[in-house]
Amino acid sequence: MASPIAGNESFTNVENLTGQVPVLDVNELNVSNLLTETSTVTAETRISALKPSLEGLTVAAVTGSVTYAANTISVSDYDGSAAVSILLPAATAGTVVVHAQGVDTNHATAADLTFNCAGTDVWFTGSNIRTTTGGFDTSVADETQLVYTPEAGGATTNLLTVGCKIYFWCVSDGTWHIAADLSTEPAVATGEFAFAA
Amino acid sequence: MASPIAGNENFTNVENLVGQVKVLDVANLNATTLVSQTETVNQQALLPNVKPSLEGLTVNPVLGVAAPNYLPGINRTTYNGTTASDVILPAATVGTVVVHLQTVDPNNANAADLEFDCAGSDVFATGSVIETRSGAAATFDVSTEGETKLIFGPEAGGATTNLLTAGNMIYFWCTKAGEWHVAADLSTDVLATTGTFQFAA
Repeated sequence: MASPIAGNESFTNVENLTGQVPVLDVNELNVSNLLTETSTVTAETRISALKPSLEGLTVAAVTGSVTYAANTISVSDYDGSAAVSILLPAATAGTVVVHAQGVDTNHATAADLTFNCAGTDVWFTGSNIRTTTGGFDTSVADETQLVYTPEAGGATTNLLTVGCKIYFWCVSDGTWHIAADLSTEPAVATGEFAFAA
Repeated sequence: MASPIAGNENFTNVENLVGQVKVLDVANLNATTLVSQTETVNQQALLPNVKPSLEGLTVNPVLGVAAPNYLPGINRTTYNGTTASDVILPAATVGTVVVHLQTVDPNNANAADLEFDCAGSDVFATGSVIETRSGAAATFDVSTEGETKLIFGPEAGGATTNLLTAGNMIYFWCTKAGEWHVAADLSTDVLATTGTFQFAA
């Protein structure tokens, strides 16, 4: 038999050949069967511009300043009464970290909540996070912190409140992508997010 | 050269071969390159861990409350907690998306449950996560193997503080026959401190 890889223009044996590939049926390749046929793709699919779902993540309750675990929803009791500094795990491709806000951030002290990248990790340049003043803050090159500041005086109008989530996910080692589900309540008018170096 | 299709167990030529396939660079296949390389994939992509958008979905007629058979697409309900609603999902076939749109606040004092039941032998993907409330705080319930129900229980007494309220959506989508992935857009109101979701067998 002539080598099927000798030319690309008359690749008549590809139907037979691809039928032998156990993982991917290339001859019938489409998204549906791709995802059903390959557990690797199913389990590891992360797209830089698409916020991942929560499926497959572990849930953990956390208190105070801690290092978040990879592939975990960390439910935080931060409420603004004391500053909390979170260290993210190393940004390795495929990793997802979710901060879930367990309670409202309405303590009169209005202490900050800060997320810090580990080591030389950075936010993806051009990441956007909603904030009250100016609508959004956009990360610039090499920024490594994300700081949330609630309104002082015990306001119950902050954009980070019970049930809100901040997502960090990695598709390229060393860089975190970010998205957030923040409050859309009509009364929300306070609270600031800002990227920082 | 020996025929590469003579055996399946030592398919060393596959790296060369797939490099010849013009449409998909299978040798470097991952979600990023896949999506960028093919318009077909762009249009049809349903990924197990990414909540689908509403684009292309049919907005179905409003069905009854008691035991509606949901259809693929967006399903609206008038469930408000007055009486129990036992939703039956369609068969989980690859590519199907079902969305529950909560059109009103479930604040009736009866606090009857809203339940989603998989059809036939369908199940929720193990490890599916749904937000819930416990002691006024946010927490999550995680599905275990073989669970087929998702149950919402509003706060009794006519509370207007439930995490499921008007405008919220629950998404079910299928990338593997017989299995639903689940995600939800629930309330982010500071007052949304009640109501429970849980998976069940």
